[in-house]
Amino acid sequence: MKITTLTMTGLIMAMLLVSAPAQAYIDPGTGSFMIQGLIAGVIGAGVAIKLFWHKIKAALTGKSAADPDDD
Amino acid sequence: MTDILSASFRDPSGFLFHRDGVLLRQINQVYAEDYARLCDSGLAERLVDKGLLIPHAEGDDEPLRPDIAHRVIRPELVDFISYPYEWSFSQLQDAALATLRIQKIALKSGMTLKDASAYNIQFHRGRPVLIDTLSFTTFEEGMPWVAYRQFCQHFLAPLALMAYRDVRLGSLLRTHIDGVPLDLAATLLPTRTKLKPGLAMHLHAHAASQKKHQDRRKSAKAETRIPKTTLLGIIDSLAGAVRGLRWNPVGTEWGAYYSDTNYSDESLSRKRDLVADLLGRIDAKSVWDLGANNGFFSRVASDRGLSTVAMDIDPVAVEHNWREVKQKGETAILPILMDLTNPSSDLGWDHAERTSLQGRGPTDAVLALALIHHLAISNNVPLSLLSRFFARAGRWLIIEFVPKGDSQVDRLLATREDVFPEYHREGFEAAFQQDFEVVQRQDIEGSQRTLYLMKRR
Repeated sequence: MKITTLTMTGLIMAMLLVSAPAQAYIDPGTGSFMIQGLIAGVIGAGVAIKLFWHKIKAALTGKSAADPDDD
Repeated sequence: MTDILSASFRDPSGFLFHRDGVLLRQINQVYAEDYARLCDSGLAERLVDKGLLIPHAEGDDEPLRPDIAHRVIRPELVDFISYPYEWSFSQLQDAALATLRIQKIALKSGMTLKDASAYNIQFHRGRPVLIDTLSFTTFEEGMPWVAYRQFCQHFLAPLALMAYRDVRLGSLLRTHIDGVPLDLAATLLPTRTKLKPGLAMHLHAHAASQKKHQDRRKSAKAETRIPKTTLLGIIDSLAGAVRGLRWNPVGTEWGAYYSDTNYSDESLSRKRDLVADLLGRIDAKSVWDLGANNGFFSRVASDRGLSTVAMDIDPVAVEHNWREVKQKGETAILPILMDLTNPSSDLGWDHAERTSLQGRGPTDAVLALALIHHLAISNNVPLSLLSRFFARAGRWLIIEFVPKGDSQVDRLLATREDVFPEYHREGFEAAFQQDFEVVQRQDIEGSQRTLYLMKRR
């Protein structure tokens, strides 16, 4: 019983690991995925600060960040 | 008559085909959900309104493969399909920035670009637009960008090489159909580019990460989770890296061509009037200006509303031309880089993914001004072969014959033996008689040159 559960869990884990995102017909490249994770770590703090700053600015001025594509 | 476009095979979401001369896109059932989201979320409309996505019409066209079809749409046509290896530095840069802007807007609508191929961008009415309506997929929270590698290979790497090493390295896109491999770019770039944060992360560290993980057999998907706000930050960071690349277009043979010819301002404008007059006499809708330099004469055609492709071998000239297009907001002219002695050939899978220059023709009218001596003398092409080339390219030909004795021809002959006994006006006319009839012949005042209007036989 234990073995079956373990096998099932293993299978599900394996499926999760190999399942591709819907319609990802190009190979994203493992290295290209991993580096995005690292870059996210590097710039994540900066992004958080920027968002926080925009919120303060918006609260003070009553205007939201001026990205023409934010509509 | 139907045929599937030979470049349209990679993505199972759908494909392009022609039926009785009409371009259609079949959307397959596997893409039905994404297509519904693209339309229902308003994303498609928003992108079309911003001029970033090619518009399409939904009709009742029959699918080509009904067994897998969801529906068929009719995309708006692009006048001339050009390729990244034919673009100047700023054209590739503008295409890159358009791709990133699209990706940002898509992310905000809960979708993401599943590819970032430079070939999906075309210059349409003077602006870069995405022509692949099926490039979007539903964004899964936490997912890194699937097309990040492709973006860096198709855009960031060639742009960095052009900016930091040599602008001619843009031609690497011709040999590497899926973009410049990042390890190659990292090897060729100067070491100081490692100090530029954008290039250090997205190119150098990226290349190192690819190398490190090249033998991994499992997906990194489950291991790499990125909050959406941070992913948007990565897109911003890529845009910053792209925007930070600069190339100053100076220093080639042709850069100052018009200030260094034997044409005075007056005879230049007379020649322009003459070309305008000849163009007015023919029923052309499209023009290829071969050897267009900065597009001075191309604009005689494009200002009349003729769809004009201005081709030149010089990256500086093409860059200046594109900057002028942007500055004036011109919509009928497309500058591209083209070496006529070795024009773009059929490339890619089965020689059919990217079409040769002649394969994208013929055009209605060809302009060949101050060009023939470069092909006939510098490249030793016999006049009869030139005639055949031009006859394949277009129905009408406006061509300037530049004889020996003209300072530009004498300059070409100054350092070499004259092995061109046939190169004179009579020889030129005799050679071109085989493919063309001369409709009008006009001496250009103040020079020894002659302008011809010819019609293909």
